[in-house]
Amino acid sequence: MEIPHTVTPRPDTGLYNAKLAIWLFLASEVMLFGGLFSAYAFLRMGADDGYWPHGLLDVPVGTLNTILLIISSVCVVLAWASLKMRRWKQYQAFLGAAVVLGTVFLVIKLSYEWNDKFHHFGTFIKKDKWAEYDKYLGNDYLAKKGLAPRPEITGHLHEVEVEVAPENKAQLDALIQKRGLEISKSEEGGKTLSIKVKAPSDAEALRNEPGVKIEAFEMALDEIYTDPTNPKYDRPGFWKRHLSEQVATIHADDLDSWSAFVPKHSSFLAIYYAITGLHGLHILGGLVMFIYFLFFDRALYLRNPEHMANRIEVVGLYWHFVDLVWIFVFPVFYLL
Amino acid sequence: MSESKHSESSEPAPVSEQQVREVEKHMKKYVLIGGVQAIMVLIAVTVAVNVSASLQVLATLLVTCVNGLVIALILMHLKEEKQTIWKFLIFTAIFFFILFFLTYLARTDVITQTLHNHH
Repeated sequence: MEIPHTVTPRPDTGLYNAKLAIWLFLASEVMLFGGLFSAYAFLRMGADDGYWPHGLLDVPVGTLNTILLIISSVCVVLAWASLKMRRWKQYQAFLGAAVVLGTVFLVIKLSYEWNDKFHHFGTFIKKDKWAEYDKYLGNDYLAKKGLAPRPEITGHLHEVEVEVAPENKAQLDALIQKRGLEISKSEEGGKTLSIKVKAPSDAEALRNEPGVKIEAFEMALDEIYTDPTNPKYDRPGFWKRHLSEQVATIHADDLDSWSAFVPKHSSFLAIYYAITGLHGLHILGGLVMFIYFLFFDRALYLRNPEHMANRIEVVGLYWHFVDLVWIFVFPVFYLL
Repeated sequence: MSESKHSESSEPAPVSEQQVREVEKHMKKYVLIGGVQAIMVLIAVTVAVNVSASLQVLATLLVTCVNGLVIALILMHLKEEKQTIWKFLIFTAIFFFILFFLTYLARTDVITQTLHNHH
């Protein structure tokens, strides 16, 4: 039995079935993303001055990704129009371009943007220790100007100094070997070690090792902490913070918390990963559908080209919605 | 069933010249809309960089909302869409704003007070 109204509209709704279904689905998607954006607004408005991070995301890269998604959206609508004109090759070219652009978007998001966060490191200094780190934080200067204080020092983690109990030394050595780390300094007969790390996840592994106590972190500072009283840093800027050559030692006992820029670092990053992750999954879903239509739906086109055009219209509506969501994700995370 | 079909072995029958011209006209419009959208993204970035902090949020979101409307009305064809779709999208929009309004209420509730006292 053939499914009715895949091409012609139903008399009662005036729409073919799939179109009604996709709009109902998109309405539910509005509520899904709406809930997350609502959580974002709650966090953003409730954040104390100085605690909402700025400059963590790369605006030019975010802009590039936004434009890639816009072009892919146009490509999809052009693919649909090509089918309406029965131009299969042209349809394939446009849909193929959309697949390439969507893939590039995902690659940039995961391999550059997310990966960069996983390798970035933040240390929240205890309030009673701010004075000791004022040459990096510049909080005296900020207080005099009536500006919000900086509670965190960020940068790239180079080394971790640990103290290890003698009975756990062999286990620590095994971990160092397993993760491909390097001991740069060993003191007190191997009780205190400086270990070169590749990423903050190495420090996490050291923290979880029995008998190992992290004493200090050695990190290359983000440029803002090398010149914290420079008026150009007074207003939170959204341009990405660049790394400097200057290295600082931060003592673990002086910290409230430390971590890579992963979801647990802050509510900002938690909601950032939640929304961009969910959006990324939508991109992936769209790409899978595009690839299916591109390579496995020729028979439908030959049998019933209008039905095929409707399928592309429906998947195109989904893709435009994914583009629409990103149009809002981009400014709220990257610009505000 | 009035749905048109063709033999599976041959290419589908070509559409009329007039229909092709009509579709090509729309294609030009879509490309133009894409260009406008890209420009609006750049405007949003420029506004966010240059406008004073107090206006930044409002101005950036305004440009973004216009951009979103362009996608929905033109690329998603909502402008020419049937009333059925408009009706349940309006319902969705109402629920969406209620969701935000509830968040706002929650902010002025005891939970936020607790957080502020905690700090």
